[in-house]
Amino acid sequence: MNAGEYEETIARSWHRSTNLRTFFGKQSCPPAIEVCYGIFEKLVKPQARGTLTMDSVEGGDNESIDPDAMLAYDEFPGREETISDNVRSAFLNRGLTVWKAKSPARVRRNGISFSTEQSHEGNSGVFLKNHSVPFCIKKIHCLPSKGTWLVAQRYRRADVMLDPYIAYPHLRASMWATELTSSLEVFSIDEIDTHFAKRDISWEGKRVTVIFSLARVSFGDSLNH
Amino acid sequence: MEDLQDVVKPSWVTSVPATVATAPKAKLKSDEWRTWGCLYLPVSFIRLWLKVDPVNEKESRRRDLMHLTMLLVSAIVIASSRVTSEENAREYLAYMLGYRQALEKLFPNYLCQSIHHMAMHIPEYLLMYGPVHGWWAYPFERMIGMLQRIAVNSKEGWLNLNGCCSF
Repeated sequence: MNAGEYEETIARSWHRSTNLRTFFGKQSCPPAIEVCYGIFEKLVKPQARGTLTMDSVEGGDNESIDPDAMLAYDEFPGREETISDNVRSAFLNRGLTVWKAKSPARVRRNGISFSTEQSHEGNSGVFLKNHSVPFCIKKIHCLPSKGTWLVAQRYRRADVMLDPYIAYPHLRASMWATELTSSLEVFSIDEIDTHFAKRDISWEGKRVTVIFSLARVSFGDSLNH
Repeated sequence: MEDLQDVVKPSWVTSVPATVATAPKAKLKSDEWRTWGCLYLPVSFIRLWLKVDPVNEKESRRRDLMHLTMLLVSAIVIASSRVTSEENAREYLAYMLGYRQALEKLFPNYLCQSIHHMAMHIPEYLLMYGPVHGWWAYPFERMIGMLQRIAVNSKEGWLNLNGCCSF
């Protein structure tokens, strides 16, 4: 095997990038460097989750690589705040009595960011497991020893004669009203199924929002979102 | 163009360059094509083309084009699911057959490409090998892309030459 400069450069470059990616897994990694894990991860790991790139790298969900998924209550930024009465009653409906909680603007689960509507509208739209209705995250509350909870509002069904997306169930799109229901509901972060994308359009003389589920699993015989 | 700006999406969803709407030969990556086809096109077509007058021949053709695209997009969504099943394979084949039939009706003079034939075999592969992510060629494409991005001086040695000769 007679390798030239061309092959040597490629081989060196390849090995260097591999060594960098495994650096944090080594026991010899200095603590000062470990603190910079978040910055380093952005440098060496693809950020576009849910894309073809991530599919080829991960091949599926990868919970172990996400440091944010393991954040303890004390590690969440911000101070405890008193929660409002309507949120408190929503927690009571879930059998939780809550007076104070931390309220981060965003939280990560399995490497994906979920935010309040005020912080990032696109990251605030979610479908929940066992629900076919889209929700909008209004608040995120972290409770000591009780995990992370989302305070959300449902979308109302669109008042239209014909939803054209019914004819194409595998697009997982449907029309909803642009307004949300008035009541707040509380869900554990583990109940999130997937994000959705949306676009407001005029249809039958009304403003409606078209919502696309971004679930990466499609069931041939199902019409679920 | 309007839809590219107004779709509200999570930060992890690939953005599609605005040139796709203005440049007729825009060069997109596979992932951008998928996002454009599966997310933006279904909104735009329904919004613009479903409200057309069905009696008007030209507008009726647009509606048929929309249906054609929706069949193809539905097939892509099923084929790229991370979980697959016999039902998925059947549904995919039904959509692809519907797409081919609609394509033949709309463009009788169009000569189908070999890729259309290959797409008909995907259900067999789904059943034999599972979800496409395990066997599609994108990891290799990505590897080639990474190799291409490495700065070299193009002074090849015998290793590279032997590889080329063997190939």
